[in-house]
Amino acid sequence: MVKDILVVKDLQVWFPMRTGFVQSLVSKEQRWVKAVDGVSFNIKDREIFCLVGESGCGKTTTGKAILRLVEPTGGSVKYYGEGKNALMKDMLEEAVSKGKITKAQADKLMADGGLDVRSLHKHRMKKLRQKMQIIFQDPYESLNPKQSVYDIIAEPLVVNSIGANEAEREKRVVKALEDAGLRPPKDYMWRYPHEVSGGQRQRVGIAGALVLQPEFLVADEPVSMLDVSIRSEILKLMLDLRDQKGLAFLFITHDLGVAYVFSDRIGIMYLGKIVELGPTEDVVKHPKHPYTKALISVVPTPDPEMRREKIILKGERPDPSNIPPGCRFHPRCPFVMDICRKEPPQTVFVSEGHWVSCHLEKGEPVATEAKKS
Amino acid sequence: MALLEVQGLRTYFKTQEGTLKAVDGIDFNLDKGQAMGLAGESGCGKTTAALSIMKLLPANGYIAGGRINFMGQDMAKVTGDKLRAIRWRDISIIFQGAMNALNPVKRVGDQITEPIILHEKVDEEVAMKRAKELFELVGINPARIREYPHEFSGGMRQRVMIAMALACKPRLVIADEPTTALDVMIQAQIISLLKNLQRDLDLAMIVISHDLSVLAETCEQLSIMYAGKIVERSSSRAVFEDPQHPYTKGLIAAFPNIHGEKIMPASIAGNPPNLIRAPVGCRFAERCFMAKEICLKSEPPLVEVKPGHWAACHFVPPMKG
Repeated sequence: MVKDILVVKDLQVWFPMRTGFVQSLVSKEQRWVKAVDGVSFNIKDREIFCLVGESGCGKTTTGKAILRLVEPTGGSVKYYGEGKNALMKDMLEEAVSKGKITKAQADKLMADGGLDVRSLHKHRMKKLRQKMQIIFQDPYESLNPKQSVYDIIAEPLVVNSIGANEAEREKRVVKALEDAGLRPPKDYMWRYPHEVSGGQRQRVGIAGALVLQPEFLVADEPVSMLDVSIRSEILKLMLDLRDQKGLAFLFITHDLGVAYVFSDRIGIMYLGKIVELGPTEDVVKHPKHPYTKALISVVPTPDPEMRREKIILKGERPDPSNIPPGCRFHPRCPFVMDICRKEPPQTVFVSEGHWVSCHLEKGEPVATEAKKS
Repeated sequence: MALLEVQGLRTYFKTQEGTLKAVDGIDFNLDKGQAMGLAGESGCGKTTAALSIMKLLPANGYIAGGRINFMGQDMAKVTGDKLRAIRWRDISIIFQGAMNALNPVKRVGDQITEPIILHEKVDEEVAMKRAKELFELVGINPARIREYPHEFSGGMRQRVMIAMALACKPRLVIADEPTTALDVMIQAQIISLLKNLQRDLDLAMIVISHDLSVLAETCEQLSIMYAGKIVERSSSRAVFEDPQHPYTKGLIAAFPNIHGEKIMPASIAGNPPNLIRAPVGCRFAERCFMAKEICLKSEPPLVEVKPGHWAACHFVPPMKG
C-alpha cells in the first residue's frame, strides 16, 4: 500500500467577523466567516492531489492552513514525510525530558509516524516548512522586483541559515534553477524579474520552493496567470519533479480541465467543504454531485461544434459568513429537493475511493475516520 | 460595405532600445453585427491593434501606417473633437481587468451616466433611467445603481463594465480579455451574456483573448495573431476543424480537453521574438517544428488557402486559380 504523506482531518479555519459598536451592544454573538469548515483528505507519497472550486470556496485557505500560513481553528493535519523524523524525535525527546509525556507515550507517537503539524512551536514549524513549500499564483506579484533571480532563490537559504558560505549557497541555487528548467542557470541568475517572461517567472517561483529540497508542495493556481500555450510546460515540469524527486503535490485550481490532465485524485470543494472526492478520471467521467457536473459542463473547450448542454449556475461567490442550512449547495442546485433545505447530506461511497455528499446518491456511508481511500 | 476596414495597420512604440513594432501590417474587415475574435499569446499585439482602432495608445505609441476605415472615416487621421465624438458613442471598449478599470470613488451609476450625458446631451434623470435599463440588460439588479465598485464581486464588476460599454448604443464594441481572471462558472455566465447581447443588439464585436475556447464560443470569425502579424484568418469553425498554420495547430493542441482522454496537452516551446529586432523570415520559425531554411530567409505572405481561409506559412500552398 502506498504510504500517506499528509492526512488532513476535519480541518477548520474560521475567521472572526468584526461587528460594529452598536451591533456589539445588541448581540453578544460572535459571527464567523467559515472559510474552511470541516475538510478531510489525504495525500499519498508521490501523489498529485487537486482541490477544485470557485473563488471563495476555501481552497487556498486550506492550502495555507496546512502550512500554517493561516492558523487552523480546528481539526488536525498530520505529516508523514521522511523529513519530519529528526524534527519529531527532537521534539519528543524534549517533551520526555521535561516530563510532559512518558517515554512509552513518546515511542507510541513516534511509531504512529504522523507529526501533528498544528502542535508545533513556531521555530519547529519553520524547520518543517523547509519540507513543505508553497508556489504562489501570480508570478508577477510574488517576486520582489528589486531582487535578482539569484537573491530571490537564495533568500530561503539565508533565512534558514542553510549553507556554510556563499559558494555553497550558490551551488544550491544553481541546482534549483536547473531543476526548475531554467538552463543554463548562469543565464538567468543575475536577471531581474522584469527581464524574464511569464513562464520563466513561474519557474523562478518554483526554483525558490525547490532550493530547500522539500518533499511536499502546495501549488496555488500556478498556471492560471499564464498563457494557455505555455501552461503545459509548467505542468510537465511539476510532473517531472514528482517522478524524479518523489515530490507530492497539493494542487489548487479553479480549472477542472487542468486538474483533469494533471492530477491523480480530485477533491471538489464548495463553500468550505469537499463535496466529492475520488480518482481524477472517475470523478470527471462519472461525476455524481450536481456541482461537479456543472463545473465540468462549463470547462472551456476550443471547439465551436461542441454543442454541449451547459449547466450555468445562477449567482456567484456564496457567502461563507452565511452558510445555508441543510446542503450548502441547495440554493444553486438545479436538482434541489425538500430534504436538501433541511438536512445536510450524508457522505457515501459511489465506487472505490470515490465519495460524494449529496442526497441524491445512495451508497455505503463514509465514516469520518475513514474518509480517505 | 464593411463597418470597419483595417488595412496594413502598423502601430509602433518608441522605447529606449529602439522602435518596437507591436503591430506590423495587419488587415481585417468587420461587418455590421459580426463578431470577430483576435487570438494570440501575451505581447502578440492584439490589444495594441484594438487600442489603435480607438486611438487609445499610450504616449509613446503611434500609428506608423495603414488605414482604419470606420463608417467612412479614417480613424488613423481623426483627432480632437471629431475623435471624441466617435469614442464611446460609436466604438466602445470593455477593458481588461474589470477590477481596476472602474473608478473606485465614484458610484457605478454615475460612471455609466457620464458618457450618456456627455454624448447625448440629456439630463441626469434620463441618463439614470437609461443606466438602470442597462443594468437590467446585463443582469444586475437596478437597485444597485448607487453602489460603489468595491461592493460588487468580480463577475458583477465585469457586467458593470459591459453595461458601461453599451451606454451610448455603440455599433462596435471591443472586448479585451473579457473573461480572463474570472472563475470558470462566471466566465460561462459572461460568455453567454456577451453572445446574447451581440445577437439581440446586432452589435459588431471584436473579442480579444489568449483563450481560444472563449473565442470559439463568441465569434464567427477568427484571426490568429503572432508577433504583430495575422498568421491565420477564417471562420471559427474552419480554424478549429482544419487549422492550417503550425502556430494555430499548436494553440489548439495546448488545450486540455476534459471530454477526451486524460493526456497532458502539448505546449509550444520557446518564446515569441523580440519585436524591436524582429527576425527577417517567418516570425514563428524559431518555435516551429516544420521550419526549414526558407522560413529563416523570407517572410511568408498571408494567402488564401481555401475559400475564405487565409494563412501565412511557406508550407501551406495557396488555393489554385
